[in-house]
Amino acid sequence: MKKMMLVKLEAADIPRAGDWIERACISFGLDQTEAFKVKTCVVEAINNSIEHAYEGQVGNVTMSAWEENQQVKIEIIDEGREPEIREPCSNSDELPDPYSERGRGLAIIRAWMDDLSMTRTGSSNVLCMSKRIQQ
Amino acid sequence: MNITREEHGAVEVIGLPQRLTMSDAGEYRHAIRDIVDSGCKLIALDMSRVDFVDSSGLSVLVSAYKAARNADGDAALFGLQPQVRALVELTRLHHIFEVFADKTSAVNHLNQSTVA
Repeated sequence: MKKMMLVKLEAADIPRAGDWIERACISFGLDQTEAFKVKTCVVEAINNSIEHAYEGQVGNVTMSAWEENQQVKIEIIDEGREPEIREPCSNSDELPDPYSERGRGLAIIRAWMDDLSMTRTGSSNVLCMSKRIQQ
Repeated sequence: MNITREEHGAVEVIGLPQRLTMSDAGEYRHAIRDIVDSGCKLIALDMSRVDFVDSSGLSVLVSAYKAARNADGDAALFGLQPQVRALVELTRLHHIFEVFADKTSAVNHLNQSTVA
């Protein structure tokens, strides 16, 4: 089952997308704690799209979520500028200094999701991430 | 913007909203800095209503801490919900903030810091 949401997003809309993905994750079998982690990571990913790809402006973001092989798969696509930094941190040890006021988004995604990839396909930025569904 | 303020001796308790995210992080950052700039250098951030925070929201907390410390004061957190606490611990903000279960503990700690 694939669930898809196409939203023209500005920052104030992001919590709505987060709530949608949290409900979708629970329907796929994640518990509340894991669904919250996925919600947080999706919000961080969309924040990055708005802040870096669309440079703070409104833009289309397509968000898809589905269950496959006991994993929740998430795909987030924007058509904004290619971000300068595409490679995520390799592990949570690369979280920024606690005193820093920037740079936590991708590190949070890396720490809380099981898999993360970011690619540029044509004029789109494609972020894929997944989370195992525990039995 | 949706913050509350209470005075407890020298400590200002600042209640934060249900969601602390990128859309309004700038407003909250400035509001808290204004409070510190007005002379309230000991601040206890009430997180009990906060059920979702993103990295921009975390930066508001860090900014508040820096503002208080730059004014020779201090800042503490209390009332974190479990999922918010998990994010605070993941990002190691509990290494810079004293984190308390409730308002009384946070206020007592900060008031004592003025005596020390």
